[in-house]
Amino acid sequence: MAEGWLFDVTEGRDGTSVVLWLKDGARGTITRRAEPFLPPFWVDGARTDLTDLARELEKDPRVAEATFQVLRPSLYDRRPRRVLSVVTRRNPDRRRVATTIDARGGYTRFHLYDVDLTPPHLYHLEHQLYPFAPVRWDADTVAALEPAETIDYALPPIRAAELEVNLQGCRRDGLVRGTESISTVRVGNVILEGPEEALLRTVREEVVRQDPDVLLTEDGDGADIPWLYRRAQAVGFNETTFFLGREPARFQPSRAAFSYQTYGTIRHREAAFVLPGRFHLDTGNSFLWGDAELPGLIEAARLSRLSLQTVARQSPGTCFTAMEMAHAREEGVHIPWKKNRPEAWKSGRKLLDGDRGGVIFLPPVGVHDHVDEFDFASLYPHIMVRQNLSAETLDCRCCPNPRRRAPGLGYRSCDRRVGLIPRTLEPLLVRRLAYKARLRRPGLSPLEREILQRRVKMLKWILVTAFGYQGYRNARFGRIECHESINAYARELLAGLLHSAERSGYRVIHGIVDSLWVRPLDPTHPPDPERFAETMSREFDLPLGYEGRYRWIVFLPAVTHGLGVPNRYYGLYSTGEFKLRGIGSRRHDTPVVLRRFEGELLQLFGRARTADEFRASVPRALARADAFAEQIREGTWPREELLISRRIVQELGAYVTFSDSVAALRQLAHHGIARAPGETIRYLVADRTARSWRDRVVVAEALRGDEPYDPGAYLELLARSAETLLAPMGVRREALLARWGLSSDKERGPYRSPESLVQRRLDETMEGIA
Amino acid sequence: MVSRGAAAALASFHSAWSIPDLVPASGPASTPAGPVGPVPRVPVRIRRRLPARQVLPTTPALFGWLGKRFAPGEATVWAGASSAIDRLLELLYAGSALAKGRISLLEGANRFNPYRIAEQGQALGLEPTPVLEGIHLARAFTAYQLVALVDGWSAEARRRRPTLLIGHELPALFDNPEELPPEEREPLLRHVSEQLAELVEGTGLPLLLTVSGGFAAFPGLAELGPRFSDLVRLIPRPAGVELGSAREGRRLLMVHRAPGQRGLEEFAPPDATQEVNPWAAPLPLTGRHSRNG
Ligand SMILES: [Zn+2]
Repeated sequence: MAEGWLFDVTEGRDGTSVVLWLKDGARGTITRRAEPFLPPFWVDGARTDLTDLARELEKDPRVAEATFQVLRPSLYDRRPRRVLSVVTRRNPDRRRVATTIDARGGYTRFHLYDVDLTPPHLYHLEHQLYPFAPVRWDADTVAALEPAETIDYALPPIRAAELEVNLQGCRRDGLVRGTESISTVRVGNVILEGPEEALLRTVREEVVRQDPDVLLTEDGDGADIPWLYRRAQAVGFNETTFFLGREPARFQPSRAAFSYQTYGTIRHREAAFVLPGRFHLDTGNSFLWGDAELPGLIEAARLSRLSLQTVARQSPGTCFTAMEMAHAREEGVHIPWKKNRPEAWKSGRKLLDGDRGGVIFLPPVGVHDHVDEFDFASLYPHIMVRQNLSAETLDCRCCPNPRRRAPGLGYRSCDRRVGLIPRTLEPLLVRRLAYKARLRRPGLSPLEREILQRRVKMLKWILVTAFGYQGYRNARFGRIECHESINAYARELLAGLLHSAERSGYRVIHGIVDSLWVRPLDPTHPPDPERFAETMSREFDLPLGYEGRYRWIVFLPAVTHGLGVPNRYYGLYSTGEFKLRGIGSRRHDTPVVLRRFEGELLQLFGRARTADEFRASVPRALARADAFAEQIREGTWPREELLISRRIVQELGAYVTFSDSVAALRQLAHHGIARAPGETIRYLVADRTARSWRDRVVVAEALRGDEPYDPGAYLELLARSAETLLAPMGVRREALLARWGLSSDKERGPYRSPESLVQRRLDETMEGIA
Repeated sequence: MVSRGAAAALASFHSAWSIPDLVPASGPASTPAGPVGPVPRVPVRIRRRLPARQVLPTTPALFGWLGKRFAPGEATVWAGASSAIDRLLELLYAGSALAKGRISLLEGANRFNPYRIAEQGQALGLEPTPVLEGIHLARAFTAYQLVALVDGWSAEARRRRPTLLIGHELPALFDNPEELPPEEREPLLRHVSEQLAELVEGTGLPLLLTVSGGFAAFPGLAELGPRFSDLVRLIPRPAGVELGSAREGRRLLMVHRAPGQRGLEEFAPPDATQEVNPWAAPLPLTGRHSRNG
C-alpha cells in the first residue's frame, strides 16, 4: 500500500494498455504502472441493423467482442436502451472500426458514442480518477482519496526544468532551417555544449539526473524538441537511446501541425510533442499558460480529467467540454461522436428575436467624465444555472407549464431535473467564489495568493467560454436555443437594471453583455456607487461589482459609419489605471512603434483629470504625432520596432495579388522556410511600391537592422493609429497625412453592424475551440 | 397599390444585378450556357402537373411565372448564381406572404436574412411580422445537422402544414473536407435525396430546391430525389436577369425600365418563347440605361 499522487495516464505502446505515472508521496519517486485497458465504444441503431452488425463484426479480426448491453447512450434518452458495445483488440483500431461501422450504416443509420475520447481520458472517467489526484494504491487498485471537485486540495511536489536548444550559427528567431547542428542545450541551470553526439548523450543524462516532472520550453513543439529529435537521428541515436520522457517515445509529434478554419479566419495549430511520464509544456503553444500557469492548468486538468499536457495545448472550450463529459458520464450518459443536436424549427420572427445578442445601448462617441462602471461577475453562467438552461432540459416534455420561460422567446426550462450545463457550471461558480473569498483572507503567503489567483483566472476563462460554446456548431452538448435564451434573460435583466439605475440617480450611457457604464443625473451629487452595487446585487440576486469611476473615458466610433461600437474605448480610472479595449496597444500584432506612440499619447492624456482637460491636451497629442512622423520620415527609426505581423490566410500559391505578405512568404521560401496558413509572419516594409519580393519587404528572420524602410508605409500606419484614438475629437487620417505631405488611399473596411461586432467579440473568445 | 409596391421590390431585386461580379461575359439571351451546366437528360423526370395553388399570387407577372413552375408533390430546382437565387428567394418569401402562404424552409447555407425579407415584404405593402411569421425554418450548421433536419422534415411538414417547402443550398455544408470526411459526402447527400423524395411523396407539397451548383453539386438528386416539375436557371444578363424554364422552354427576361421610358423589348423581334417583364421604378442606374435606350 502506497500513497501519493496520480500524475498522468498515457497510452501504452502495445496498444492494449494505459500507463499510470504515480508519484510516491513518501519517497518522491515516480512509479510506472501498466494497466490492461481496452475501453468499448457504443453503437445505437435500429434493432435489426444492430443484429446484422453484430454478426458482421464477429468476422472482423480487429474486433475482440461485440455484445449487447442496456444503457442510456444519449443525453436526450430518458430510458435505457439496448445498444451494441464494441471492443477492439487494440486501441489504435477503435476509430478505424468505428469508421467502418459508420460507413456500413451509410453514415446515417448508426449513432456512435465514446469513439473519439483517448484511452487515458476514458480510463480517468471509468475509474473515477483524474490528473493530480491524491491516490492510494496496492497491487490491485489505484483509488483517489478525494473527488476531483474538492476545493481545497494540496498540490503535489512538482519539479520543473527549462529546456532550450540553440543551433549552430543562427539566432533562435532567425533563419532556421532546422537541419543545422546543435551548438548548446540548456537543461534547467546547466548549459551544455560540445561535439554533437556527446552533447546529446549528456542532454539525456542531465535530464535523467535532474529528473524534472515538467520540461518547460518556449516554442518547444515547433523548435527545441523536433530539433533535438532530428539531430539525434542524424548522429545515430534512436527512439530507445535518446528520449526526454521517463520512457522512450517516438520521434514523431503525437499530433501533427495543421491549419484550420474557424469563424472565417485561418488558424494554425502547432504540432504537439508530448512525453510519457514527464510533462512537456510549451509556453509558446499554450493559449492558457499566460493566465493560468501551472496552478491554473492543474486546476483545469483535475476538473476536465485531461492530461496536463493536453490541457496546456487546448482551448478553454475543450476543457469545458471535457468537464461536461465527466458530469455526463457520472449520470451514465455517453459521449456522442460527430453528431449533435440541430436547431429547432421556428418562425422567421422568432429567429429574429433570438438573434439579438446582448447589446443594450450603443456607446455615445466622444470623451466623457463622471462615468462609473459596473460589471456582473459571471452573469451568463449564473443565468444558465439559475434558469436551468441546458440542451436536454430546454423545452422538455415533462413540464408544459414551467416556472421559467425565456423572455420574449418562450423557451421552457425544466422544473424536474437539473440540466448538464448547470450541473457542470454550478461547481465552477462555487469554486471561483470560494477562491476569491480565500484571497481576501489576511495573512496569505505570496505563493498561496499566486496559486489562488491563477485558479481564479483559469475558471474565469472556462466560465466565459461556456456561454459562447452553447452557440458553437460543433459543441457536443450545445444548443442554439440555449444561447438565445441566455441572451434573452440577460437583456431582460439589464433592461430592469436601467430603471433601477435611474431611480438611484444614474443614467445608463452604455451597456453590453454584462457591463454597464453610467453617469450621475446630477454630477455634483453623484450616488454612492458601492451602495448602488450592493442594492442592485440584492435586487437582482446577482453579484454586481463596482469596477470604478473614470476621470475620463473615450468611446470610439467605427471607422465605417462613425457610430459608437461596443468594446472600443479607452479610459482612465480615478485610481490612475487605464482601461483599454479595441485599440492597437491591446493587439500583439501592432508594431512596436505604434504601441510606443499610443503609450506616449496615453501618458499625455493620463495627466487630464476631466473631459475638458482631456480635450485641452489634444493639440499636444497632435504635436507628438508630428514628432513621430518627423523621425519616421528621417529613416532612422530602429527597424525591429517597425516589424509588422500578419497572419497568413492561404498557401503562397493561392495568393492572386502581390502583397507584402506574398513578398515575405517568397523571401522565406527562398531561405528554405515554409509557413502554413494560420501562422504569422513578421516583416519590415522596405518599399511598398516594389514589384519584386526581394525589395518589397525584409522578413524578421533576415533582418540586419540597417536596411532602408518605406517611411510612407509607416506614416500611413501612424495616421491610422492617431485616428483610432482621436477620431472622436475630429482627427482624420487623411488630414494627418496631408499635413505630413502624403496623400491617402481611400480604402475602407466593409460595414459591420454593432451586433456583428458583439458577435465577433464572442467569436474571438471562442477561437481555437475547434 | 400592391403592384406598385411589387414594382419597387422588383426594382430593388434588379439593382442586385448592377453588382459587377454578377454580370456575365455577355452573349445572346438565348445561349443556354450558364453557371449550371446541362440538365441531366434521362434521370430527371419532369412531369406535367397542375400548378400548385396558393404558393404565389398570379400578379405581378414575375410571381405568376414563378408560380407556374411548382407542382404538388414535385420538386422545382433553381440553379444559377447564388446571390441571384438569394435575392429572388427573398422576393418569393414576400410573394408567398401576399398569397397567405406558409413556407417551411430548411436553410443549408446560413443565409437567411430576416431584415432583407422584411424589407421586401414592406415593398409589397406587407408588415414585417406576418411575412416572417409565414416562414418556419431550421438552419443547419453542420452536414450532420442538415441530415438530421431533413430526416425530421416530414414530421415538421405534417405538423405545420405549409404551402411550400424550400431547401436552400442543402449541399453547401458537405463541401468542406475539414468539417466532413470527403468519403461521407456522397452517401449522405444520396440519403438526403431519398428523404426529399419521400417528403414530397408523403406530403404532396411542392418543394423548391435552390442549388447554385446545379445537379452536379448534389449527388443522388437526379436519380434518387423527388420527381421534378421544373428546373429554373437564373442567368445574369447585361439588361437584367433571365429566368429559364427547362420544362416549357420559356424564358422570363427581367429588364429594367425608367419611368416614361420605352422598353427595349418593344423593338426586339417577337420571340414566342420569351416573356419580357419590364417594370417602372426609380432607377439606380438610369444614366447608363437611358443613354442606351
Ligand atoms: Zn421538465
